[in-house]
Amino acid sequence: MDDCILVQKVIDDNDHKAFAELMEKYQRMVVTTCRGFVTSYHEAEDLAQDVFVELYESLPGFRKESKLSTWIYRIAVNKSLNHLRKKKRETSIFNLNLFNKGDGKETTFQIVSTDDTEADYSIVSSENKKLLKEAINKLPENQRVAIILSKYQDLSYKEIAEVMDVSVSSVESLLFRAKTNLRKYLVDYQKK
Amino acid sequence: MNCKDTNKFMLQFLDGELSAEKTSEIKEHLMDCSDCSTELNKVKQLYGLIEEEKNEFSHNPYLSSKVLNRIKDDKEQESILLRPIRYALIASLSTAAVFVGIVMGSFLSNINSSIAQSDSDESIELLADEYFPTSSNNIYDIQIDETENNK
Repeated sequence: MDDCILVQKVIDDNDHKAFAELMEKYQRMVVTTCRGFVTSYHEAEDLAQDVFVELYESLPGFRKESKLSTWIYRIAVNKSLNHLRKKKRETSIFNLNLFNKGDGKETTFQIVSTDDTEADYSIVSSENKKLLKEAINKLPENQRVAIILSKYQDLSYKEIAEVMDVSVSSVESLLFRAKTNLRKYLVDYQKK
Repeated sequence: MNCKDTNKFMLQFLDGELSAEKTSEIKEHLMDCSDCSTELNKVKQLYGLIEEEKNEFSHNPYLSSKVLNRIKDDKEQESILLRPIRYALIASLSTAAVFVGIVMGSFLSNINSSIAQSDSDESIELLADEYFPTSSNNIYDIQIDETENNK
């Protein structure tokens, strides 16, 4: 069924079946977008639930001038950024408590060898994913959003511009800077 | 192409976004420079994990029911939270209504009593006029006087 009809059913009749249909349709998109921001798949799925709850509450305010997917992307991006900000605040408070205990752990880059067993590969891969995420999250927010929408969702410059409400040339420049910075951070992590 | 430029466009090179000319220049440089080549392989390994993360997705058949349950719970929670506010609102509105009623009642009774007072004053005046008519203020008296003069 068309998105507009489903949205109208949710707004007019509080139709949960219609909303469930929307969730089924956009589940991959939301979970994968959130995955770009957070360190674990489980975390991304939890965030996706928050995104859909917010979507349900905000649907009456949805203007049909833009696409529903653009609206959902915006909610997913904002939820993810807020989640990370909250997590950062909590971590800094936690780190303050540990400041005198010297309990800080540091992850280092490891090269995955073809000789590694599957278990070794999984451990090394998850450690490296953590590093990748640290590098992505080190980027300024607008560069981060642009690169996540580009790499995790394969969105075009035009689509990213619509989600971020900026011009196409701004997206081009954001992506160029994001990639330059990301390479630098990835190299820095390897040297640690 | 030098090391600096190769590093600058490394991720664009990996994403295949560069022109054919620039791509071949970087490829040539990588063949000659072992440092850049090693760095590219390391970056490629980390950067390539994005593709791996993208493919992690597996459809969760329970996600929509979880979300719908949360929406229902939120609504119930909201109504529980709103209930005392609603009761307080009803109580304060009824108190206000009673107060307004009392004020209006006393105001109206004041008006009534003042009207009654002015009515009684007027009736006294009327009675006085009936019993002690003043000839100078009576227009009929003047008319009678004129007709008498004409005669």
